Amino acid sequence: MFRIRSALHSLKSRWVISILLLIQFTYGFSTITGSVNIFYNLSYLSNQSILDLKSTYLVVPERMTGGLLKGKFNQDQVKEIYTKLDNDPDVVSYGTYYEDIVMLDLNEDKLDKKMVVELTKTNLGFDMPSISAIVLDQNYYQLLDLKLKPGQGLSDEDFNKNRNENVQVLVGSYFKKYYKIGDVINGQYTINGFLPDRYIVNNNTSNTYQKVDKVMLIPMSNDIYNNYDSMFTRLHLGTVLKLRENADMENLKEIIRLPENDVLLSLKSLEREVKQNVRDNAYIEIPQLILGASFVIFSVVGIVVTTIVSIMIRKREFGVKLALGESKLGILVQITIENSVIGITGVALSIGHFLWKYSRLLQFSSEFDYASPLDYKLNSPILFFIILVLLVIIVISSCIVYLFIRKLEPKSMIGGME
Amino acid sequence: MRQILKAIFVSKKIFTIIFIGFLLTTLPILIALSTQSYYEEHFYHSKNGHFKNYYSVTLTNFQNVDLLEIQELAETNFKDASVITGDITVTEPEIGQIQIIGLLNPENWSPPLIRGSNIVSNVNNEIIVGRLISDHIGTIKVLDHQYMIKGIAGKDLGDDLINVYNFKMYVYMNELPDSIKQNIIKQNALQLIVRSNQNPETEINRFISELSQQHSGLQAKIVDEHENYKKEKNARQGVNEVLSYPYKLFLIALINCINVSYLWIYSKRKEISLRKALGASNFNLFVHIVSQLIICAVLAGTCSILIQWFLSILSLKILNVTSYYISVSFSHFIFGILITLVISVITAIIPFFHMLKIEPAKALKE
Repeated sequence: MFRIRSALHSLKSRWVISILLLIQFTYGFSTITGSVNIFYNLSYLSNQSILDLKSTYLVVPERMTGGLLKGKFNQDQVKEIYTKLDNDPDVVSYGTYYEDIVMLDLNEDKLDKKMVVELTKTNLGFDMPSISAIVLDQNYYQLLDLKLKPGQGLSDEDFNKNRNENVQVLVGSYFKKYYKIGDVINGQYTINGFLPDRYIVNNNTSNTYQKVDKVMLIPMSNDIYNNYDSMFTRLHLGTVLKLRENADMENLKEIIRLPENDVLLSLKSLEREVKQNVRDNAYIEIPQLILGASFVIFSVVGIVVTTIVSIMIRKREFGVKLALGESKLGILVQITIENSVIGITGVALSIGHFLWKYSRLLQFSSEFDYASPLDYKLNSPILFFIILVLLVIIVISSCIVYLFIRKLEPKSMIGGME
Repeated sequence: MRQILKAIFVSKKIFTIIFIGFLLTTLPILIALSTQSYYEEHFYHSKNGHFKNYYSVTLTNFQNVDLLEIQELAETNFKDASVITGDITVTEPEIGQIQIIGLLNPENWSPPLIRGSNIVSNVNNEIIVGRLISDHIGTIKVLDHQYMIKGIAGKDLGDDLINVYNFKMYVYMNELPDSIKQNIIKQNALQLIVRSNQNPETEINRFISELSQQHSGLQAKIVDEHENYKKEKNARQGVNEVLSYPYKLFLIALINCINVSYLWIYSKRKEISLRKALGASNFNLFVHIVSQLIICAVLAGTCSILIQWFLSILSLKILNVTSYYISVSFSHFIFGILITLVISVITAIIPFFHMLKIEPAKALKE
């Protein structure tokens, strides 16, 4: 306690350079927080896909010369494409999905107030809580290979029901706080498993994906699965294929194309898309990394310089302490506490600055929960990394300061009192 | 001078750190300035050309509108100003969304070209298009109207500046597709943008007056768009984010310089006290420290301009990878020198105040 009081007193006596250091820390750590977020998200994108990146390919419209003209084709033609895919040796499996939103029934007893607030997507103009849902067919469910506990997951029966019938669903880990297996949402969706904290493709044409921690996976009902309109749209915008290595892409592109279709369909490698996204964003981060590295170097220099000045200003105080038996390590501890006070205050200010500067982006990220480089947040791994950088700065600067303290002699320090 | 250099040499470690600090204050500012100019240019290209003055003229309530007549009146009345229509967004099934811009007097301004030539005739259905509408000279059908592509628009200065024109199409106003002409007639409204480096108000008033003589009841609303454009330009969050990093680096490096120079002055307390005791005035002492810092700053400034020159060779590659554009211009050079001088003075201020407080007797006793 005495040391902390002494540290605060010392910081007060050199308040100008202490404030300058605080400004340096605030901006520096704020930048580092942004960069850490980006690299955390890039690492997440590279490693946390539910779908196997290497073998997954997405059907995407390459060129659209008109709208999705469903009337031009018929159900048999679409079914024929899927039959050809079934028989193609390059296709391991395939499935289809579409995105949906489940509005939560506010009359339900179990709805937690905090959950209601967190699930209300104000950015979409909603004033009611909702859950992002991915409705998937049985093929796609099997392709995902979720490896859930025995007894959990979706059954064959769930895919044979009609819309509005009670079905079993899987929900993200976020819902573990509020629900348990067997609980029913909206009187229709029975939870039969929780999804791993990963991401899934929710839009074939986009390079942002959906984290599944706040998502509901719903089995596609039989009537929708066989509905031609839905089938046609899913072929163009919601088909996922798992292919063997060195698959004949040109042949597969030919298979999925409807004759004289205004929309030219193509296949996009999920791995290539994710890698490209990661590479582009890593390059864009170069200036921020330079800034971050400069900040770390300047912080070390700043701390060392201010500490040395502080020791020089108080050399009699330290000289007397050394003469009275205080160890040099004790002086180092005293100095380190002073620097830590600035460092911790700087980190706190930088977090405040980060939250203020990116408030809208943070709110957007929290509401939509997308897996994208700009999914900004302040979770424990990011805070841990920031504290780690602070520790590195304090340890390196303390080591350099110790080299200076080691040479101090009480006699020369108190000399002026004679 | 020799004394100053000698003094710098004595404190070479500290001056090395200050030099790096100065380098990392000047260089980011220069990069920020050239990047800022680039994105300003980008913004004005998105507005179809950079001018000092922008006015929108909305014509309403005209009878039997004849676009050729308006165009010819514009050609005769606007000698300095360039007149175009506002961006008209249409969807062409084969291409997607296109911004069509009608040109009233293309001799005063036409878009930059990466290929081909400007349009010269208002009777041959000539157009200039962005490279994603067509990347080659030839014919194209837009909204059921056959056109002859004379040039591919785009500023060949990085992908960003070429991309501004990707989906733009420039055509003489009287040759706009029929559906657009009919829409203008139906709405009985036409928006023109008058841009000029001179004040175009006289030309606008003359144009409207002549037009009113032929169309009684015609109403014209004139709005100075300069401030609106400025607000729009400053509200680009992506650009502001990109520019914030060099300024942050500048601030962090500057604080470092101040800290180090504080240590430098503190370590020279005895020398300064001695100078004070021997009669040196505060001004003399300030000049003494500032002169050393200025030499260091000028060296750092020169170095940063050289680095910037070197990086400017790779400017387009750097731009496409990092979003920063690095170029060297005379104004940047002058600004760089000014920055170094200001930084050296700022760096000297806090140590100088400390120096004022030094009591020679006390400091010499230590």
